[in-house]
Amino acid sequence: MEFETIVALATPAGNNGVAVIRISGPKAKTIAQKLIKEKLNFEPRKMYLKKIDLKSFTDNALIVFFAKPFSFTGEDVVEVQAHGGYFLAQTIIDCIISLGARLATPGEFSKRAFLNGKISLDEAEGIVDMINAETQMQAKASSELLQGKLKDNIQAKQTVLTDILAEVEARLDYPEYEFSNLETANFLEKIKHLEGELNALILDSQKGLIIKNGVKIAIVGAPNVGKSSLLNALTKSEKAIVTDIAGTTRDVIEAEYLFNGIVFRLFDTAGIHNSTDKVEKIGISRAIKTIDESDLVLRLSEPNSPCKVKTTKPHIDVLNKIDLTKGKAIKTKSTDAISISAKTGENVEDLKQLIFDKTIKSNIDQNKFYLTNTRHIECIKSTLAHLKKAIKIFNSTTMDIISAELKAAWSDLGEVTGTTANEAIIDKIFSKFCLGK
Amino acid sequence: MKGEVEHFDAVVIGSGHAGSEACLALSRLGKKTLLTTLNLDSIAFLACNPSIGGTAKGQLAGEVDALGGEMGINADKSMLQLRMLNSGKGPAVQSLRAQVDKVVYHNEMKRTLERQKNLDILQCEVAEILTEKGRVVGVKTAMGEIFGCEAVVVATGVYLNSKIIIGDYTKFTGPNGYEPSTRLTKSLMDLGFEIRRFKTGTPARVDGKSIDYTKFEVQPGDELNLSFSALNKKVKNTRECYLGYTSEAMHNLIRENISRAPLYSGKINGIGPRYCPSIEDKIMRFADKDRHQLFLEPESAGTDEVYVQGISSSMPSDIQRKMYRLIPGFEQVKIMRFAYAIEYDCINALELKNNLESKRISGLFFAGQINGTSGYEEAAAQGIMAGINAERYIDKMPPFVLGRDQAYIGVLIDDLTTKDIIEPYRMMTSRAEHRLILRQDNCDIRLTELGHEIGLVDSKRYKIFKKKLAQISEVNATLQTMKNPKQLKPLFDEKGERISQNGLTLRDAIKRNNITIFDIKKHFNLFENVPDNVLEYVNTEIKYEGYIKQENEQIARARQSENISLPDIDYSQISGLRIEARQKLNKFKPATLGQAKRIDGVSPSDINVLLVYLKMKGTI
Repeated sequence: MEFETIVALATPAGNNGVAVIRISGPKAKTIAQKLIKEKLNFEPRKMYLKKIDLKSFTDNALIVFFAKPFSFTGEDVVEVQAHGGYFLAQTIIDCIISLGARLATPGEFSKRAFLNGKISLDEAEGIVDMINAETQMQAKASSELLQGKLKDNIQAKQTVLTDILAEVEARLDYPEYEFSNLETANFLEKIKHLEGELNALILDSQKGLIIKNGVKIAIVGAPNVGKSSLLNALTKSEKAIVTDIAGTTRDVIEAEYLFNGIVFRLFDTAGIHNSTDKVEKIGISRAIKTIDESDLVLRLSEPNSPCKVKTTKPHIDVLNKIDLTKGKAIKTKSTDAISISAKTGENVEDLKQLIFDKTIKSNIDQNKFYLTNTRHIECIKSTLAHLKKAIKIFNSTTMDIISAELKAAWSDLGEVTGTTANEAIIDKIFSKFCLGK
Repeated sequence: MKGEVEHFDAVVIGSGHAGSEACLALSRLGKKTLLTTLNLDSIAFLACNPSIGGTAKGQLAGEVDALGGEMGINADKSMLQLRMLNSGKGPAVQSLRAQVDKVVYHNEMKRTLERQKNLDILQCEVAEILTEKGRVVGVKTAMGEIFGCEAVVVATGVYLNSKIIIGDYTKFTGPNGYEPSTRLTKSLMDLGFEIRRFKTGTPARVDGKSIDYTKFEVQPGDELNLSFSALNKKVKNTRECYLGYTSEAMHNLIRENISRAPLYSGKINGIGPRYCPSIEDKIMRFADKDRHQLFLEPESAGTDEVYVQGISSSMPSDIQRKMYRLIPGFEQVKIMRFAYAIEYDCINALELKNNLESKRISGLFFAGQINGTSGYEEAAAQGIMAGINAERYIDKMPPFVLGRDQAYIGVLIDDLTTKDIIEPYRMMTSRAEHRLILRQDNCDIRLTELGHEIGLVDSKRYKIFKKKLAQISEVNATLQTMKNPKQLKPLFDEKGERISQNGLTLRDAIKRNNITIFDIKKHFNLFENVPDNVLEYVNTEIKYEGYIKQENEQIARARQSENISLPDIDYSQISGLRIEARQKLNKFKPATLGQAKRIDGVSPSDINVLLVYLKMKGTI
């Protein structure tokens, strides 16, 4: 039996050093080839280091091809081993989906492995349990989710679509009801409005992902202003190497702390200055990249040495080493600046609060609804694609085709709400229209 | 069997639209068949609308025709007017609708049945279906005669314990005063079938001479170069229909007397269809509408009786007299037959397999309204399928089942046998997932080859079909011709299309929004001997090529799991399934994995569990 090509993260979600993304199915090789751009002959079980094209940027990854049946699933499999971290893995998966794969369902790799005879009968019992367990977990998660804002929000949008579809379908199935120009213009208006709302949901989902995956913070500043010390003070660890020799930190270091239930991930960067040291130069260019990818930048300085790193990102100016100044710490009331001592810990808790206020409190509306489930996001993206198509062809084709796009959009939304049975639309037709002999 | 009067291969009970197709299919496939009917005068009787087709129903009738059935041919013989509905709304939803002469329709079908080889017709009431060891062995009539047989098709329509209702007046009778069947329900119950009670209704027939037609809008037939059946060429429109509206005064009268409506006084117990509400139902449910459409349709060329589509009712006769007269143009109208509601017994089609055979009793098939459907076309579609499958059962051949992606017939039977049908089921294009593939213009392309393999498509039909295929490829070849900008200019200028510098093939020209194959035909003097329906077909296939390709890809993907057949499993024993899925699967007992997927409450994960389970058991 031949299946669709599927993709998913094979390593546990979260902050691992390496993320393994598995593509399985007949199109695995074709899709991987498009991801790499450079022509590759995919010798089985050979590891290639290649640049992968993620549309907005490129990154290096290790690529391994397993030819069927000698793979985990028994199908053609390509594994992409990329740098760790949620965003990168998600970007790669999104990219692979856009190239023609679909997101794997729980236990699907194992299921295929079993169907292709890669797993014994004993192990199969376990797979049923696994699919089941994940389903129940999902069901629990989704029922909890569906109790609340997700249900209201998506259901409301599906209802709008159900209404439009009922209006359109009634006119298609009952010739005595014609489409007036006013009505069709109204449909288009409603579809566009819905598209806008869903678009906003997707944009907002980035914020939702912040809640789920953590806030990324870059610490920048001139050499030896105490970036590593600050990182240690915030995380209460000795992760970064702290010396008084300027330029000790040559790599981007990651550490994290929890504050008000949110994970804050810190990236200590090499001091940014004009260096001639080759290794240090690499560190500096990485630091600049880290700033680009962060949600917030801490611009660290010391008395009489202002921070020269400029950024358009949200930032906080942190004046360090106030223990060295004679007078008491100057506590600024500005939301953009604070004085601390990384060494004595003075005002560090205040800094944490300020970081929280600036990233979470000011950005995330507690009463608003954010999508955080990758599958839901995929479904809504696919809904959007159909709505966009419907809008594009609205004035140039017949209503039967437009309706087909709307129906596809409706089904995709239904994957989130659980309403996918055709009868829902037919019921609506009968409740809204007076039809019959 | 002992005491039998005569032995047949198959007995068909009922001579309506399902029974007629079933007995023709059986006898044409060489089976010695007996058709029993309560009344020979009710063969293929059009008890409600004098029309065949309509949205989605036109496709069903076209599919019956493509398989070698009789409905389309009979409609052509009795045609009064033919229209193509929804012509502006796209090819997926265009359907033929024929206004037919109901007297001629009955006469012609009766004659066809009489002349059919292998087919006997007998007026009698079948009282009992005889079985032995879980299989059909014969039928017994109310007079006690026994006919032995291998298979039975039950197609009793609305005649099982039927009761008509007009206000307080009720009577156990079938439509038009024809006798009901009063004994068979008990036999079905004894065989273990769940019996339900459904309801439908029909409007009054009025005297055409008493209508002021000047107050109505004329609805002529369309000038189409085609007919209902692929066997026939152009048919002539000889009669017109009329469009009119109800009035506020009529609505008020009904509102004032609503307590006398059986639907509201509790006199009607049957479940009626939402898509076919009576006028009192429309007025109560859609209170904000100040008027409703109605259509006047001729019942027959030989009578003045007119069918008032849109005003079905079960109001008492005195109210009916007053309310019809409140329709503008009906001021002096004379009712000839009162509108009525009718209740009848039917079974739950979930008890059937997808070949329309009972899951429990071998050789017992059901078709038409007894399965919970309504409509002549739905009945005919089930009739021909039940007939074909009864023959295949007798000849020990695998069942003939059409997929949802092959035909509306497939959608219909799949819905009936896998879903809880809680009201009379009517086909709609919205029920089909792939309606761009299931078009009126390609019924023969989809099904005639299959009908030929089965043996129902005769040589005449097959020859016409082969000729059409040849014409299609000829047209397609011609359309590959390259034309330079100079040759295209007059046409493109006229249609407001821009010409590309390198010229185009004619095929690519048709892909432009404002250009059709008929424009090409005219401007380049092509396709002189090619019929319009062939050109129409090619035009649609080109214009919608991208979407058709997309649907075909979806179909190919879905087919992989669609066709995995499910053995008889006790789903409650599969621990991996969620409780709801176990219950639903045990209730509906889907025949294939595809059917299981469509059951509401069965999730993709449940399907995964099922797949693993089947593999473990070695069934796939």
